[in-house]
Amino acid sequence: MKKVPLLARLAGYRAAHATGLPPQLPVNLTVSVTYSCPSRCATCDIWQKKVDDLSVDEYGRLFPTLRKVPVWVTLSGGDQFVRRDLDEIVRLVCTQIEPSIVNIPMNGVITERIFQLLPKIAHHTVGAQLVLNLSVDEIGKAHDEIRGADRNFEKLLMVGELIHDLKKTYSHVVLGVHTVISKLNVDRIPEIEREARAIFRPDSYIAEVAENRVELKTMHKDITPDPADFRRAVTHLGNTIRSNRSGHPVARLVESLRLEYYDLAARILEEKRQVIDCYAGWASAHLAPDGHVWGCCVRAESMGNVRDHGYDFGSIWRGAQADAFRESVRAHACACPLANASYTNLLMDPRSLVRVTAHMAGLGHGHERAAQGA
Amino acid sequence: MSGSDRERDLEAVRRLVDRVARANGVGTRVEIHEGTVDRPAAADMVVSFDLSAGPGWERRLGALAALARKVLVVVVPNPERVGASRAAGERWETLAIAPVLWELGRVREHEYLAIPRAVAAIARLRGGTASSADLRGATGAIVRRAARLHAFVVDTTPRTPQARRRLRTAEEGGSKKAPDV
Repeated sequence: MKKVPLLARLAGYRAAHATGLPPQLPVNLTVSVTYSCPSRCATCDIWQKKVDDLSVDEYGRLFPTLRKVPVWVTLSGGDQFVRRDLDEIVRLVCTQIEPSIVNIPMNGVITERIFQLLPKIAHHTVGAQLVLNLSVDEIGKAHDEIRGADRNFEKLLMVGELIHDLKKTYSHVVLGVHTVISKLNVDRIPEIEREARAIFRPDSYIAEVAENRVELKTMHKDITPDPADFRRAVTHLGNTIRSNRSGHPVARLVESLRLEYYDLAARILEEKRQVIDCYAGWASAHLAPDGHVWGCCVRAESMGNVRDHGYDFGSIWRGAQADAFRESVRAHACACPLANASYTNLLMDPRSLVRVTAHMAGLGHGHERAAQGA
Repeated sequence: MSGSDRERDLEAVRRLVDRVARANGVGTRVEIHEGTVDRPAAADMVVSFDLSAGPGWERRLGALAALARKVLVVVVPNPERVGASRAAGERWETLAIAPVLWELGRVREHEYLAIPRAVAAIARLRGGTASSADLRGATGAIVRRAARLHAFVVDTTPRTPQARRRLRTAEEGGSKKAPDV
Protein backbone atom coordinates (compact mmCIF):
# COMPACT_ATOMS: atom_id res chain seq x y z
CA MET A 1 0.00 0.00 0.00
CA LYS A 2 1.46 3.38 -0.99
CA LYS A 3 1.75 5.78 1.92
CA VAL A 4 0.15 9.21 1.63
CA PRO A 5 2.79 11.94 2.20
CA LEU A 6 2.71 13.35 5.72
CA LEU A 7 2.07 16.92 4.58
CA ALA A 8 -1.02 15.77 2.65
CA ARG A 9 -2.23 13.97 5.76
CA LEU A 10 -1.72 17.07 7.90
CA ALA A 11 -3.68 19.14 5.39
CA GLY A 12 -6.46 16.56 5.63
CA TYR A 13 -6.63 16.87 9.41
CA ARG A 14 -6.83 20.64 9.15
CA ALA A 15 -9.70 20.34 6.69
CA ALA A 16 -11.53 17.86 8.92
CA HIS A 17 -10.96 20.06 11.99
CA ALA A 18 -12.32 23.08 10.14
CA THR A 19 -15.35 21.38 8.60
CA GLY A 20 -16.32 18.81 11.21
CA LEU A 21 -16.07 16.02 8.64
CA PRO A 22 -14.72 12.64 9.84
CA PRO A 23 -10.95 12.65 9.82
CA GLN A 24 -8.50 10.14 8.39
CA LEU A 25 -6.95 7.64 10.76
CA PRO A 26 -4.36 9.21 13.12
CA VAL A 27 -0.68 9.65 12.22
CA ASN A 28 0.34 9.70 15.87
CA LEU A 29 -0.70 6.65 17.87
CA THR A 30 0.11 5.79 21.46
CA VAL A 31 -0.38 2.15 22.39
CA SER A 32 -0.42 1.51 26.13
CA VAL A 33 0.28 -2.19 26.42
CA THR A 34 -0.36 -2.48 30.17
CA TYR A 35 -1.12 -0.43 33.26
CA SER A 36 0.96 -2.76 35.44
CA CYS A 37 4.09 -1.16 36.77
CA PRO A 38 6.58 -2.02 39.53
CA SER A 39 7.34 1.67 40.16
CA ARG A 40 5.38 3.69 42.68
CA CYS A 41 6.04 7.16 41.32
CA ALA A 42 4.98 10.20 43.29
CA THR A 43 3.61 11.60 40.03
CA CYS A 44 1.66 8.56 38.81
CA ASP A 45 -0.78 6.01 40.19
CA ILE A 46 -1.40 4.11 36.98
CA TRP A 47 -0.21 0.88 38.64
CA GLN A 48 -3.45 0.80 40.65
CA LYS A 49 -5.51 0.14 37.52
CA LYS A 50 -6.19 -3.51 36.71
CA VAL A 51 -7.59 -4.46 33.33
CA ASP A 52 -7.54 -7.36 30.89
CA ASP A 53 -4.70 -6.40 28.54
CA LEU A 54 -5.06 -7.00 24.82
CA SER A 55 -3.22 -10.12 23.70
CA VAL A 56 -0.73 -10.34 20.86
CA ASP A 57 -3.39 -12.09 18.76
CA GLU A 58 -5.79 -9.21 19.39
CA TYR A 59 -3.15 -6.68 18.36
CA GLY A 60 -2.61 -8.82 15.28
CA ARG A 61 -6.26 -8.33 14.32
CA LEU A 62 -6.33 -4.65 15.24
CA PHE A 63 -3.16 -3.19 13.73
CA PRO A 64 -3.99 -3.95 10.07
CA THR A 65 -7.16 -1.86 10.45
CA LEU A 66 -4.94 1.20 11.01
CA ARG A 67 -4.06 0.82 7.33
CA LYS A 68 -0.41 1.83 7.89
CA VAL A 69 -1.40 5.44 8.53
CA PRO A 70 0.40 6.06 11.88
CA VAL A 71 3.86 7.48 11.27
CA TRP A 72 4.78 7.83 14.93
CA VAL A 73 3.90 5.01 17.33
CA THR A 74 4.61 5.31 21.04
CA LEU A 75 4.54 2.10 23.06
CA SER A 76 3.64 3.17 26.53
CA GLY A 77 2.57 1.77 29.91
CA GLY A 78 2.60 1.17 32.88
CA ASP A 79 5.87 -0.56 32.45
CA GLN A 80 5.77 -2.15 29.01
CA PHE A 81 8.48 -4.60 30.02
CA VAL A 82 6.06 -6.24 32.44
CA ARG A 83 4.86 -7.96 29.28
CA ARG A 84 7.00 -10.89 28.23
CA ASP A 85 5.56 -10.55 24.71
CA LEU A 86 6.53 -6.90 24.20
CA ASP A 87 8.96 -7.83 21.43
CA GLU A 88 6.12 -9.58 19.58
CA ILE A 89 3.90 -6.52 19.91
CA VAL A 90 6.71 -4.36 18.52
CA ARG A 91 7.19 -6.81 15.65
CA LEU A 92 3.48 -6.53 14.80
CA VAL A 93 3.63 -2.73 14.99
CA CYS A 94 6.54 -2.70 12.56
CA THR A 95 5.17 -5.26 10.10
CA GLN A 96 1.50 -4.25 10.16
CA ILE A 97 1.65 -0.47 10.72
CA GLU A 98 5.15 0.29 9.38
CA PRO A 99 5.65 3.56 11.27
CA SER A 100 8.70 5.74 10.66
CA ILE A 101 9.31 6.22 14.37
CA VAL A 102 8.75 3.85 17.27
CA ASN A 103 9.10 5.52 20.63
CA ILE A 104 9.42 3.61 23.90
CA PRO A 105 9.65 5.47 27.21
CA MET A 106 11.45 3.26 29.75
CA ASN A 107 11.78 3.22 33.53
CA GLY A 108 14.57 0.61 33.44
CA VAL A 109 13.22 -1.33 36.42
CA ILE A 110 12.78 -4.86 35.06
CA THR A 111 16.38 -5.01 33.99
CA GLU A 112 16.65 -8.67 33.14
CA ARG A 113 13.68 -8.61 30.77
CA ILE A 114 14.91 -5.39 29.19
CA PHE A 115 18.22 -7.11 28.48
CA GLN A 116 16.34 -10.02 26.91
CA LEU A 117 13.83 -8.07 24.86
CA LEU A 118 15.54 -4.84 23.84
CA PRO A 119 17.95 -6.45 21.33
CA LYS A 120 14.98 -8.20 19.70
CA ILE A 121 13.02 -4.96 19.66
CA ALA A 122 15.98 -3.20 18.04
CA HIS A 123 16.06 -5.88 15.37
CA HIS A 124 12.31 -5.73 14.71
CA THR A 125 12.42 -1.96 14.26
CA VAL A 126 15.11 -1.91 11.57
CA GLY A 127 13.76 0.38 8.85
CA ALA A 128 12.22 2.79 11.38
CA GLN A 129 13.83 4.95 14.05
CA LEU A 130 13.66 3.41 17.52
CA VAL A 131 13.66 6.16 20.15
CA LEU A 132 14.30 4.78 23.65
CA ASN A 133 13.60 7.40 26.30
CA LEU A 134 14.95 6.67 29.76
CA SER A 135 12.82 8.26 32.49
CA VAL A 136 15.17 10.22 34.75
CA ASP A 137 13.38 12.48 37.24
CA GLU A 138 16.33 13.09 39.57
CA ILE A 139 19.89 11.92 40.08
CA GLY A 140 20.86 8.95 42.28
CA LYS A 141 18.84 8.15 45.38
CA ALA A 142 16.59 11.16 44.89
CA HIS A 143 15.41 9.59 41.63
CA ASP A 144 14.64 6.31 43.41
CA GLU A 145 12.55 8.22 45.95
CA ILE A 146 10.48 10.11 43.36
CA ARG A 147 10.00 6.94 41.31
CA GLY A 148 9.27 4.75 44.34
CA ALA A 149 11.62 2.07 43.07
CA ASP A 150 14.66 0.82 44.94
CA ARG A 151 17.98 1.05 43.03
CA ASN A 152 16.14 2.39 39.99
CA PHE A 153 18.88 4.86 39.09
CA GLU A 154 21.54 2.16 39.26
CA LYS A 155 19.45 0.03 36.92
CA LEU A 156 18.96 2.94 34.54
CA LEU A 157 22.73 3.22 34.26
CA MET A 158 22.92 -0.42 33.18
CA VAL A 159 20.11 0.01 30.67
CA GLY A 160 21.71 3.17 29.32
CA GLU A 161 24.96 1.29 28.69
CA LEU A 162 23.02 -1.51 27.01
CA ILE A 163 21.40 1.01 24.67
CA HIS A 164 24.81 2.50 23.85
CA ASP A 165 25.99 -0.99 22.90
CA LEU A 166 22.86 -1.56 20.81
CA LYS A 167 23.51 1.68 18.96
CA LYS A 168 26.84 0.26 17.75
CA THR A 169 25.05 -2.63 16.02
CA TYR A 170 21.78 -0.90 15.16
CA SER A 171 22.28 2.62 13.86
CA HIS A 172 18.52 3.35 13.94
CA VAL A 173 18.46 3.33 17.75
CA VAL A 174 18.24 6.74 19.42
CA LEU A 175 18.83 7.18 23.15
CA GLY A 176 16.83 9.88 24.88
CA VAL A 177 16.54 10.95 28.49
CA HIS A 178 13.16 12.16 29.64
CA THR A 179 12.34 14.10 32.82
CA VAL A 180 8.87 14.73 34.20
CA ILE A 181 8.98 18.21 35.70
CA SER A 182 6.92 18.24 38.87
CA LYS A 183 6.78 20.22 42.09
CA LEU A 184 9.31 17.70 43.39
CA ASN A 185 12.12 18.61 41.01
CA VAL A 186 11.25 21.86 39.23
CA ASP A 187 13.86 23.85 41.16
CA ARG A 188 16.62 21.41 40.23
CA ILE A 189 16.01 21.03 36.51
CA PRO A 190 19.30 22.71 35.42
CA GLU A 191 21.33 20.37 37.64
CA ILE A 192 19.29 17.28 36.70
CA GLU A 193 19.60 18.05 33.01
CA ARG A 194 23.34 18.71 33.22
CA GLU A 195 24.09 15.59 35.24
CA ALA A 196 21.78 13.36 33.21
CA ARG A 197 23.49 14.47 29.99
CA ALA A 198 26.92 13.77 31.48
CA ILE A 199 25.96 10.39 32.93
CA PHE A 200 23.78 8.91 30.18
CA ARG A 201 25.29 10.64 27.11
CA PRO A 202 21.89 10.68 25.36
CA ASP A 203 21.22 11.77 21.79
CA SER A 204 18.53 14.03 23.20
CA TYR A 205 17.27 15.27 26.52
CA ILE A 206 13.58 16.07 26.83
CA ALA A 207 11.19 17.05 29.58
CA GLU A 208 7.48 17.44 30.06
CA VAL A 209 5.28 18.72 32.80
CA ALA A 210 3.66 16.50 35.42
CA GLU A 211 -0.04 16.96 34.98
CA ASN A 212 -3.36 15.73 36.20
CA ARG A 213 -4.38 12.91 33.88
CA VAL A 214 -7.29 10.54 34.13
CA GLU A 215 -5.10 7.82 32.61
CA LEU A 216 -2.50 8.14 35.37
CA LYS A 217 -5.09 8.47 38.16
CA THR A 218 -3.46 11.75 39.17
CA MET A 219 -6.49 14.03 39.04
CA HIS A 220 -6.27 14.58 42.80
CA LYS A 221 -2.49 15.02 43.01
CA ASP A 222 -0.79 18.36 43.60
CA ILE A 223 2.14 17.69 41.29
CA THR A 224 1.98 20.30 38.54
CA PRO A 225 4.62 22.99 39.14
CA ASP A 226 3.81 26.64 39.47
CA PRO A 227 3.73 28.21 35.96
CA ALA A 228 6.53 30.67 36.78
CA ASP A 229 8.76 27.86 38.10
CA PHE A 230 7.99 25.77 35.02
CA ARG A 231 8.79 28.71 32.74
CA ARG A 232 12.19 29.12 34.42
CA ALA A 233 12.93 25.41 34.04
CA VAL A 234 12.00 25.20 30.36
CA THR A 235 13.80 28.43 29.55
CA HIS A 236 16.95 26.77 30.82
CA LEU A 237 16.20 23.64 28.78
CA GLY A 238 15.56 25.66 25.64
CA ASN A 239 18.83 27.50 26.02
CA THR A 240 20.68 24.24 26.56
CA ILE A 241 19.13 22.68 23.45
CA ARG A 242 20.19 25.64 21.36
CA SER A 243 23.77 25.37 22.57
CA ASN A 244 23.98 21.54 22.25
CA ARG A 245 22.23 20.68 19.00
CA SER A 246 22.32 17.00 18.09
CA GLY A 247 23.74 15.87 14.76
CA HIS A 248 21.26 13.00 14.55
CA PRO A 249 18.34 14.00 12.28
CA VAL A 250 15.59 12.36 14.36
CA ALA A 251 17.01 13.65 17.63
CA ARG A 252 17.32 17.09 16.02
CA LEU A 253 13.67 17.02 14.91
CA VAL A 254 12.61 16.01 18.42
CA GLU A 255 14.72 18.84 19.87
CA SER A 256 13.17 21.34 17.47
CA LEU A 257 9.69 20.24 18.40
CA ARG A 258 10.69 20.41 22.04
CA LEU A 259 11.86 24.00 21.70
CA GLU A 260 8.41 24.91 20.50
CA TYR A 261 6.71 22.55 22.93
CA TYR A 262 8.43 24.03 25.99
CA ASP A 263 7.15 27.47 25.12
CA LEU A 264 3.69 26.13 24.28
CA ALA A 265 3.47 24.11 27.53
CA ALA A 266 4.51 27.10 29.60
CA ARG A 267 1.91 29.27 27.88
CA ILE A 268 -0.84 26.68 28.43
CA LEU A 269 0.01 26.50 32.14
CA GLU A 270 0.05 30.29 32.36
CA GLU A 271 -3.04 30.99 30.29
CA LYS A 272 -5.03 27.78 31.02
CA ARG A 273 -6.40 27.60 27.49
CA GLN A 274 -5.67 25.92 24.16
CA VAL A 275 -3.01 28.28 22.86
CA ILE A 276 -3.07 26.55 19.48
CA ASP A 277 -5.80 24.23 18.24
CA CYS A 278 -5.63 20.70 19.60
CA TYR A 279 -5.84 17.82 17.12
CA ALA A 280 -6.19 14.99 19.64
CA GLY A 281 -8.92 12.87 18.12
CA TRP A 282 -7.91 13.89 14.62
CA ALA A 283 -4.15 13.44 14.17
CA SER A 284 -3.37 11.64 17.41
CA ALA A 285 -5.02 8.84 19.33
CA HIS A 286 -4.38 6.58 22.29
CA LEU A 287 -5.16 2.89 22.57
CA ALA A 288 -5.62 1.75 26.17
CA PRO A 289 -4.35 -1.67 27.29
CA ASP A 290 -7.88 -3.11 27.42
CA GLY A 291 -8.81 -1.92 23.93
CA HIS A 292 -10.51 1.39 24.61
CA VAL A 293 -9.73 4.08 22.05
CA TRP A 294 -9.17 7.55 23.45
CA GLY A 295 -8.58 10.87 21.74
CA CYS A 296 -6.00 11.54 24.44
CA CYS A 297 -4.84 10.11 27.75
CA VAL A 298 -5.48 13.31 29.71
CA ARG A 299 -9.25 12.95 29.34
CA ALA A 300 -9.11 9.19 28.71
CA GLU A 301 -12.71 9.20 27.47
CA SER A 302 -13.54 6.07 25.56
CA MET A 303 -14.70 6.44 21.96
CA GLY A 304 -15.39 2.71 22.00
CA ASN A 305 -13.58 -0.55 22.63
CA VAL A 306 -11.98 -2.47 19.79
CA ARG A 307 -13.21 -5.70 21.37
CA ASP A 308 -16.78 -4.55 20.75
CA HIS A 309 -16.06 -3.47 17.17
CA GLY A 310 -14.44 -6.56 15.69
CA TYR A 311 -11.00 -4.99 16.30
CA ASP A 312 -11.74 -2.40 13.63
CA PHE A 313 -10.10 0.87 14.72
CA GLY A 314 -11.72 2.80 11.88
CA SER A 315 -15.29 2.01 12.90
CA ILE A 316 -14.62 3.54 16.33
CA TRP A 317 -12.74 6.48 14.86
CA ARG A 318 -15.69 7.33 12.62
CA GLY A 319 -18.30 6.70 15.34
CA ALA A 320 -20.62 9.05 17.22
CA GLN A 321 -18.59 8.99 20.45
CA ALA A 322 -15.47 9.99 18.54
CA ASP A 323 -17.39 12.85 16.90
CA ALA A 324 -18.61 14.04 20.31
CA PHE A 325 -15.07 14.02 21.69
CA ARG A 326 -13.76 15.98 18.71
CA GLU A 327 -16.56 18.51 18.94
CA SER A 328 -15.68 19.13 22.57
CA VAL A 329 -11.96 19.56 21.79
CA ARG A 330 -12.78 21.85 18.89
CA ALA A 331 -14.89 23.98 21.24
CA HIS A 332 -11.77 24.35 23.44
CA ALA A 333 -13.52 22.64 26.35
CA CYS A 334 -10.12 21.46 27.56
CA ALA A 335 -6.50 22.57 27.56
CA CYS A 336 -3.39 20.65 28.51
CA PRO A 337 0.32 20.53 27.75
CA LEU A 338 0.39 16.80 26.91
CA ALA A 339 3.66 16.43 25.01
CA ASN A 340 2.65 13.64 22.66
CA ALA A 341 -0.43 15.38 21.28
CA SER A 342 1.36 18.72 21.31
CA TYR A 343 3.91 17.40 18.82
CA THR A 344 1.24 16.89 16.20
CA ASN A 345 -0.57 20.07 17.23
CA LEU A 346 2.62 22.01 16.52
CA LEU A 347 2.90 20.42 13.10
CA MET A 348 -0.69 21.47 12.37
CA ASP A 349 -0.08 25.09 13.33
CA PRO A 350 1.55 26.97 10.43
CA ARG A 351 3.36 29.52 12.58
CA SER A 352 4.72 26.84 14.90
CA LEU A 353 5.69 24.73 11.93
CA VAL A 354 7.74 27.55 10.45
CA ARG A 355 9.55 27.96 13.77
CA VAL A 356 10.16 24.19 14.08
CA THR A 357 11.62 24.19 10.57
CA ALA A 358 13.82 27.13 11.49
CA HIS A 359 15.02 25.27 14.60
CA MET A 360 15.82 22.23 12.44
CA ALA A 361 17.94 24.43 10.20
CA GLY A 362 19.66 25.95 13.22
CA LEU A 363 17.97 29.31 12.72
CA GLY A 364 15.92 29.09 15.89
CA HIS A 365 15.12 32.60 17.02
CA GLY A 366 11.54 31.83 17.82
CA HIS A 367 11.94 31.76 21.54
CA GLU A 368 11.92 35.37 22.48
CA ARG A 369 8.98 34.55 24.67
CA ALA A 370 10.88 31.89 26.57
CA ALA A 371 13.87 34.16 26.93
CA GLN A 372 11.67 36.91 28.33
CA GLY A 373 10.60 34.55 31.05
CA ALA A 374 14.17 33.91 32.20
CA MET B 1 42.84 -14.42 -1.33
CA SER B 2 46.63 -14.35 -1.51
CA GLY B 3 48.82 -15.74 1.27
CA SER B 4 50.01 -12.27 2.24
CA ASP B 5 46.41 -11.01 2.50
CA ARG B 6 45.61 -13.92 4.78
CA GLU B 7 48.67 -13.15 6.94
CA ARG B 8 47.61 -9.51 7.19
CA ASP B 9 44.05 -10.55 8.12
CA LEU B 10 45.33 -12.86 10.85
CA GLU B 11 47.58 -10.10 12.15
CA ALA B 12 44.62 -7.70 12.30
CA VAL B 13 42.58 -10.30 14.20
CA ARG B 14 45.46 -10.92 16.62
CA ARG B 15 45.75 -7.19 17.35
CA LEU B 16 42.00 -7.01 18.07
CA VAL B 17 42.17 -10.14 20.23
CA ASP B 18 45.08 -8.73 22.25
CA ARG B 19 43.24 -5.49 22.84
CA VAL B 20 39.98 -7.18 23.81
CA ALA B 21 41.85 -9.62 26.08
CA ARG B 22 43.49 -6.73 27.92
CA ALA B 23 40.22 -4.84 28.24
CA ASN B 24 38.34 -7.85 29.59
CA GLY B 25 40.96 -9.31 31.93
CA VAL B 26 41.27 -12.47 29.90
CA GLY B 27 43.98 -14.36 31.73
CA THR B 28 43.61 -17.99 30.86
CA ARG B 29 43.35 -19.07 27.27
CA VAL B 30 42.59 -17.71 23.87
CA GLU B 31 41.59 -20.22 21.27
CA ILE B 32 41.07 -19.50 17.63
CA HIS B 33 38.51 -21.80 16.13
CA GLU B 34 38.61 -21.88 12.39
CA GLY B 35 35.35 -23.07 10.95
CA THR B 36 34.42 -25.83 13.35
CA VAL B 37 34.48 -26.55 17.04
CA ASP B 38 36.88 -29.44 16.85
CA ARG B 39 38.53 -28.79 20.19
CA PRO B 40 35.61 -28.14 22.54
CA ALA B 41 37.50 -26.68 25.49
CA ALA B 42 36.16 -23.72 27.43
CA ALA B 43 38.23 -20.54 27.54
CA ASP B 44 37.90 -16.99 28.79
CA MET B 45 37.89 -15.86 25.20
CA VAL B 46 36.92 -17.75 22.08
CA VAL B 47 37.63 -16.35 18.65
CA SER B 48 35.72 -17.51 15.62
CA PHE B 49 37.49 -16.88 12.35
CA ASP B 50 36.35 -18.16 8.96
CA LEU B 51 33.09 -19.61 10.28
CA SER B 52 31.18 -21.07 7.37
CA ALA B 53 27.90 -19.33 6.56
CA GLY B 54 26.35 -22.62 5.51
CA PRO B 55 23.34 -24.26 7.16
CA GLY B 56 23.55 -24.55 10.94
CA TRP B 57 25.81 -21.52 11.48
CA GLU B 58 23.56 -20.30 14.31
CA ARG B 59 24.02 -23.59 16.16
CA ARG B 60 27.79 -23.55 15.61
CA LEU B 61 28.03 -19.99 16.91
CA GLY B 62 25.96 -21.03 19.93
CA ALA B 63 28.41 -23.84 20.62
CA LEU B 64 31.33 -21.40 20.48
CA ALA B 65 29.54 -18.95 22.79
CA ALA B 66 28.96 -21.75 25.28
CA LEU B 67 32.73 -22.25 25.42
CA ALA B 68 33.48 -18.55 25.97
CA ARG B 69 33.46 -17.70 29.67
CA LYS B 70 33.96 -13.97 29.08
CA VAL B 71 34.21 -12.98 25.45
CA LEU B 72 33.36 -14.37 22.06
CA VAL B 73 34.99 -12.64 19.10
CA VAL B 74 33.38 -13.41 15.75
CA VAL B 75 35.28 -12.34 12.65
CA VAL B 76 33.54 -12.62 9.29
CA PRO B 77 34.27 -11.36 5.78
CA ASN B 78 32.97 -7.81 5.49
CA PRO B 79 29.87 -7.98 3.27
CA GLU B 80 30.00 -4.23 2.55
CA ARG B 81 33.47 -4.38 0.96
CA VAL B 82 33.66 -3.56 -2.72
CA GLY B 83 34.05 -6.88 -4.47
CA ALA B 84 32.78 -8.94 -1.50
CA SER B 85 31.41 -12.33 -2.39
CA ARG B 86 27.72 -12.42 -3.32
CA ALA B 87 27.47 -16.15 -2.71
CA ALA B 88 24.86 -16.96 -0.08
CA GLY B 89 27.13 -19.36 1.78
CA GLU B 90 29.97 -16.83 2.06
CA ARG B 91 28.14 -13.65 2.93
CA TRP B 92 27.55 -12.36 6.46
CA GLU B 93 25.03 -9.55 6.51
CA THR B 94 25.16 -7.63 9.79
CA LEU B 95 21.38 -7.70 10.12
CA ALA B 96 21.44 -11.49 9.83
CA ILE B 97 24.22 -12.18 12.31
CA ALA B 98 23.49 -9.41 14.85
CA PRO B 99 20.26 -10.84 16.33
CA VAL B 100 21.92 -14.24 16.76
CA LEU B 101 24.92 -12.70 18.50
CA TRP B 102 22.68 -10.61 20.74
CA GLU B 103 20.95 -13.86 21.77
CA LEU B 104 24.31 -15.29 22.78
CA GLY B 105 25.52 -12.27 24.74
CA ARG B 106 25.96 -8.55 24.57
CA VAL B 107 27.60 -7.19 21.44
CA ARG B 108 30.02 -4.68 22.91
CA GLU B 109 31.92 -3.76 19.78
CA HIS B 110 31.48 -3.93 16.09
CA GLU B 111 34.66 -3.26 14.15
CA TYR B 112 36.06 -3.30 10.66
CA LEU B 113 39.48 -4.96 10.34
CA ALA B 114 42.15 -5.44 7.69
CA ILE B 115 41.72 -1.96 6.31
CA PRO B 116 44.21 -0.89 3.63
CA ARG B 117 46.92 1.29 5.17
CA ALA B 118 46.01 4.40 3.18
CA VAL B 119 42.35 4.19 4.26
CA ALA B 120 43.32 3.57 7.88
CA ALA B 121 45.55 6.63 7.77
CA ILE B 122 42.70 8.76 6.43
CA ALA B 123 40.38 7.46 9.17
CA ARG B 124 42.98 8.32 11.83
CA LEU B 125 43.50 11.78 10.35
CA ARG B 126 39.76 12.36 10.58
CA GLY B 127 39.89 11.37 14.26
CA GLY B 128 37.98 8.11 13.79
CA THR B 129 38.57 4.48 14.62
CA ALA B 130 37.24 1.36 12.94
CA SER B 131 34.40 1.13 15.45
CA SER B 132 30.96 1.36 13.89
CA ALA B 133 30.04 4.08 16.35
CA ASP B 134 32.69 6.34 14.83
CA LEU B 135 31.96 5.43 11.25
CA ARG B 136 29.67 8.17 10.12
CA GLY B 137 30.08 10.32 7.05
CA ALA B 138 32.33 9.87 4.06
CA THR B 139 35.30 8.45 5.99
CA GLY B 140 33.09 5.79 7.51
CA ALA B 141 31.71 4.87 4.11
CA ILE B 142 35.23 4.45 2.71
CA VAL B 143 36.30 2.27 5.66
CA ARG B 144 33.21 0.07 5.31
CA ARG B 145 33.82 -0.39 1.60
CA ALA B 146 37.55 -1.12 2.01
CA ALA B 147 37.82 -3.36 5.11
CA ARG B 148 38.21 -7.06 4.37
CA LEU B 149 36.92 -8.22 7.77
CA HIS B 150 34.12 -7.39 10.12
CA ALA B 151 34.43 -8.32 13.80
CA PHE B 152 31.89 -8.51 16.60
CA VAL B 153 33.01 -8.60 20.22
CA VAL B 154 30.36 -10.35 22.32
CA ASP B 155 30.37 -10.19 26.10
CA THR B 156 29.20 -13.65 27.22
CA THR B 157 29.25 -13.01 30.97
CA PRO B 158 25.85 -12.97 32.70
CA ARG B 159 24.22 -9.71 31.67
CA THR B 160 22.36 -8.59 34.76
CA PRO B 161 22.81 -8.79 38.53
CA GLN B 162 19.95 -11.31 38.62
CA ALA B 163 21.63 -13.52 36.04
CA ARG B 164 24.95 -13.27 37.89
CA ARG B 165 23.24 -14.24 41.14
CA ARG B 166 21.62 -17.24 39.47
CA LEU B 167 24.95 -18.39 38.10
CA ARG B 168 26.61 -17.97 41.50
CA THR B 169 23.83 -19.95 43.16
CA ALA B 170 24.10 -22.70 40.56
CA GLU B 171 27.87 -22.87 41.00
CA GLU B 172 27.58 -22.96 44.80
CA GLY B 173 24.89 -25.63 44.51
CA GLY B 174 27.17 -27.61 42.23
CA SER B 175 30.15 -27.35 44.59
CA LYS B 176 28.04 -28.50 47.53
CA LYS B 177 26.96 -31.62 45.73
CA ALA B 178 28.28 -34.82 47.23
CA PRO B 179 31.16 -36.18 45.16
CA ASP B 180 30.38 -39.11 42.95
CA VAL B 181 31.78 -42.33 44.38
